[in-house]
Amino acid sequence: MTDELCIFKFIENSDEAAFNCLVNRYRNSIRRIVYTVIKGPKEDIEDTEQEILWALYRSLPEFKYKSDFRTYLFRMCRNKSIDFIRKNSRIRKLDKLALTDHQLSDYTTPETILEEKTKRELISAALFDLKESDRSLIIMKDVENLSIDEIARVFKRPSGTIKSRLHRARVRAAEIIIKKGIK
Amino acid sequence: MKNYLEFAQNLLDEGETVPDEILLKMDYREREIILNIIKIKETLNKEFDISTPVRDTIVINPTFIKKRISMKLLYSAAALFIIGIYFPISESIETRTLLKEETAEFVEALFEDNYGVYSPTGYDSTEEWFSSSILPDL
Repeated sequence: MTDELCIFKFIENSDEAAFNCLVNRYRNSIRRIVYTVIKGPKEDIEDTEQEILWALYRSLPEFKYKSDFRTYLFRMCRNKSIDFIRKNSRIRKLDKLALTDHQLSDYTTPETILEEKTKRELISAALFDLKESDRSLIIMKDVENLSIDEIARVFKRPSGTIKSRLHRARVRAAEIIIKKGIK
Repeated sequence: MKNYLEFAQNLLDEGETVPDEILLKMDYREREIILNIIKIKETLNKEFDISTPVRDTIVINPTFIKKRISMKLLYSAAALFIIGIYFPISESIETRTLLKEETAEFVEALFEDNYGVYSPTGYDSTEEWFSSSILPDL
């Protein structure tokens, strides 16, 4: 069932299952974007997620099918997360988990495992050294696989601007990693 | 001067790999940057996973929670207000009443001892005279 069909069923038939289907499809993306923006502890991420889901539940009947649902949802996630930061300016320190360890067993020797772990930690640290908008751009492009045009709609900026900002953000992240000494 | 770094990133945006010929055209710094960008991209694509366990979605109205909390606060404040304000006031009222009665009794006893029952001019009893003139506020 496509996103639009889920939305249609939810709006026209008040089909809660269609709404749940839609949310479960994007659950991890929502969490990743919230985490990318607020880089706070788990409780803050969960609270913001709840706010997003509630806002989505209320606003979905107003959905005009003009824009792609994914960009609509991601814009909502980013805006709600930024609202959260504004409301809670004293954000606690980041829970140190950005890149999982679940595939480390693919590496054979303890040295390669350690090397890979260090690399991931450096990449994670480099990402979180960037400012929020740069970090969100990288995550939306390289993790959520949005196109430049879709990201432009999320950020409400021209595609050209988004593209050059994304490229600059990537260069900055790479420079941080080089400075920190990843080989 | 050609911007190979930009060109390589354009290829990455299209989901292409960066060919060695382009890497060889870059200077050392550019090559190091693009190789790190590729590394970040690959790592993020595979590993950026903070997935939640699959479960049924329960949407809770956050404003409802806030309202519930604020109602709790309101009730607690009301209870504290009653405890903090009502008891001192009631105690004060009791003290005043007692004082008034005792004063009236005392004065009455005073007049009785010396002059028998005494009624001030214009009043039926000493108590009435006291309550309307000397201690109206007690």
